[in-house]
Amino acid sequence: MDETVTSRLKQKDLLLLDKLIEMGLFSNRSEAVRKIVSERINELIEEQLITPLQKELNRKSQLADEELLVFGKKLFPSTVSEVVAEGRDR
Amino acid sequence: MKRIYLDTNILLTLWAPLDPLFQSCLKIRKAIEENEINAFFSGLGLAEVASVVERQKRKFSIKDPRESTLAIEFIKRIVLIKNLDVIDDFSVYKIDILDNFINISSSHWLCIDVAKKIGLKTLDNLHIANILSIQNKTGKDVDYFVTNDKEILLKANLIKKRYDFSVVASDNLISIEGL
Repeated sequence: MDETVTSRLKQKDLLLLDKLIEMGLFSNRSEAVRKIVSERINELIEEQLITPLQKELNRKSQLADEELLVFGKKLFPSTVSEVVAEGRDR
Repeated sequence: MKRIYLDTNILLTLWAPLDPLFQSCLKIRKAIEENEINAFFSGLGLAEVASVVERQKRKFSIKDPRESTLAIEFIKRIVLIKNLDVIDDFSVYKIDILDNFINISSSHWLCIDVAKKIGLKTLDNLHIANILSIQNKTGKDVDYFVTNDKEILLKANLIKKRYDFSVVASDNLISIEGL
């Protein structure tokens, strides 16, 4: 559902917005603000939620395979399926 | 080539040498990497890996400067298993319930049916729903749901009857398929 939001914009930004409308990128101010806000929201979500985790996943591993097995022994001293099932009980 | 969907416990066992089913899970990974079977895992599974690892870390209070990266390390190793398809179905169903339209992901919608017919825990049901979703998305049947979870294995016959795929433990898959 759409909702109307009142917001004060700087004169400078409005001039630039009007220029974009003149250039034909948007048909009016309302459409311009709606599209720009929507695109920026998606960018921010990506920057805040996706990029940091992705960076971590792309970083070079700090653990060798053998070291991960040592950690695995500590984390899973018994049957893994029981440990996983325990979490599903919550 | 047989198509399998892996439960989270199968992949985590690859790094749990004390688990009695460690060797069978290693054999499954080898079969996947050598293209003897076509294997699927899910985004849900990756999220579960992170949760399980973080929970176990707290439980055993592992004191090591590198422990903060453990969940990421497990996820990375899983994603890098050669030929393993990590797949989620992003299709959304628009459902009309007494003239109220809801948008719901295919897996969640199918999960309601699974819960009604099979009645396992939420995440177990979601994994089964993921299999149905993968079948719809790829247009091909999944032959086995491989899990070492006792409760799911107890319902293997019912799942086979309702959804027509087999639920097997890792060591059973090895013997059935001769891996």
